[in-house]
Amino acid sequence: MRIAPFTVAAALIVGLSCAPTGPSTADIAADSSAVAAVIGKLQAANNAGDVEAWVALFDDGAVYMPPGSPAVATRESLRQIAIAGFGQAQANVTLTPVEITIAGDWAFARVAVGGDVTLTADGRNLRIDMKEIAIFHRQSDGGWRVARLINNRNTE
Amino acid sequence: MNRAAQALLIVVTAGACVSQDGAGRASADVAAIAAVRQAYVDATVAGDVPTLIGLMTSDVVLLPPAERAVTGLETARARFLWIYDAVTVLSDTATIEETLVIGDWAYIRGSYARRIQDDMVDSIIEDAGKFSSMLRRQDDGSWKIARDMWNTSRPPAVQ
Repeated sequence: MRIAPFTVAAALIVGLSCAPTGPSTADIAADSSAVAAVIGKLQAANNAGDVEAWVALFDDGAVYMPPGSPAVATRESLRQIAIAGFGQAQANVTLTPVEITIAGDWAFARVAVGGDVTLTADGRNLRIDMKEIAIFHRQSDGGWRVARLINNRNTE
Repeated sequence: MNRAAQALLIVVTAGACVSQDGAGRASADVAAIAAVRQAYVDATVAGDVPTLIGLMTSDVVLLPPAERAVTGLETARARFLWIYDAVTVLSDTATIEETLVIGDWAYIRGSYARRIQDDMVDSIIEDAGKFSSMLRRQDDGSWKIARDMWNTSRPPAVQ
C-alpha cells in the first residue's frame, strides 16, 4: 500500500498533537461543580423518594455496594433497592462532598451523609451518619453519572 | 491507496492518541496495583503495621465501617496498633474484581473474606464483604493506597 506524502505528514501532525494537554484550572473547577451538582441531585432524589430520578443518576453498568447485602450491577437492581429503601422511610438527609478529584473523564468523591429518616412503619426517627465513596463517569453529552458507589456507617 | 482511504487513515489516527507502549504500561500498572493489594492482605494477616503504613500515601484516608474516617499515616498507625492489641487476624483474602487506571490514579473494587479472633472475648468473627480503594502513583512509579473503604455483605443480625 503506497501512502501519499501528505498522508504521512498529516499523520505526523496528528501524532504530535496527541501529546496530552492537561485540563485547565477552570476546567477542573467546572467539572468539580458538575460532580457536586450530581451529588446534590442524589440528595434531592433521596429526600423526594423519587426512584426514577435516583436511578437515572447512575451510569449504565453502575455498581452499587451497600452495607449488609451483596453488590448490585444492574439498573433494575438499583431500582429495586430504591423502591425498598424509599418505601421504608422518608429521608431528610444531606450529602456533603468532602473531596472531589477529577481525573480525565472520571472523578471520585468522598461524601458525608447526615440527617435522619422517618420510618414509614412506625414513625420512628433514625439518625443517619454515614460516609461514601462515589466514582463518576463523564457521559458523551458532558454530564456526569455515578459509576461506582460504596458506603458505610460511622458508628455501630 | 485512494484518497478516501487516506482520509480515513487520518481520522483513525486522530482518534487513537495512544502511546506506543500504552497497552504494556496499563498491564504493568494493573499487576503492580494487584501486588500492593496482596501485600496489604499479607501484612494484615501478619499484623505487620509498618508494612501496612508503608503501603499508604501520607494523606491516606481509611473509611472503615462503624468508625469515623481515619486520616493520615499517624492516625492510621495508631488505629492498626489499637486493633492488633485486641484481635488476631486468622485469615484474609481479597479478590480484585475491577481495576481502573486513570493517569496517576487508580480505582479498584473487589470482595474480601476474613476470620478474626477477638482476643478480648476469645471468639471468632467471620466476615465477607466488598471494598473500594483509590491508589495514587508515586514519583518513583510505585502505587500506594490513598483511600480505602469496605463494608460487609452479610445482612444485619436480627435483634
